[in-house]
Amino acid sequence: MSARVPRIAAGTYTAAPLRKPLGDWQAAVVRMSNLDPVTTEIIRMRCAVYHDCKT
Amino acid sequence: MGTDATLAMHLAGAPDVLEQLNLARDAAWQTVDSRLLGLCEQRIREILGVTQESQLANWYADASLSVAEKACLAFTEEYMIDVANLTDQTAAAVRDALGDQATVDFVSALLVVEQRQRIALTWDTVFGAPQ
Repeated sequence: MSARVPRIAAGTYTAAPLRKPLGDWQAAVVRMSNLDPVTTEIIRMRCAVYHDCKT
Repeated sequence: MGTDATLAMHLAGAPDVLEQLNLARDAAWQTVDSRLLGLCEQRIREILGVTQESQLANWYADASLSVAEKACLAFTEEYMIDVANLTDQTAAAVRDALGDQATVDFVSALLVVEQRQRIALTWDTVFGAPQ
């Protein structure tokens, strides 16, 4: 895999008025428990691959 | 009925999730220029087939659009179709037009707008749109 070159200056984050509700929304989704853990993890991993997510 | 109605109907049993989703929506539109984000949302709806309109199918030839708007529309198209392979040039064009901070804010807002459209489209397709 080729090395990544930062596209944005280090230390630049989404503005707080948007970052907080975005984080709160994602946290609210994670707290949902309707889907079983195995299916949830399979979907999470698939999304991470699709998005080339490194976290 | 539209996106908001679909989301409200299916998230009626999870009011905290709906509330946070809507707060994120509100914040996205307050943070990013509404004309710019509106253009990108329109293009998202066109790509997903949510709308039959194709106002922006030839956006690259539209002289009424600014350099920043065109850069963001190009970004939106790559983001929608294959986000993991979005090119450095496409990202750089947005950064050059908006600057670092506004680029990060734009991408975050685009995520919010895109998620709403995709989630609603999925639910409408699987369960049928609210009447």
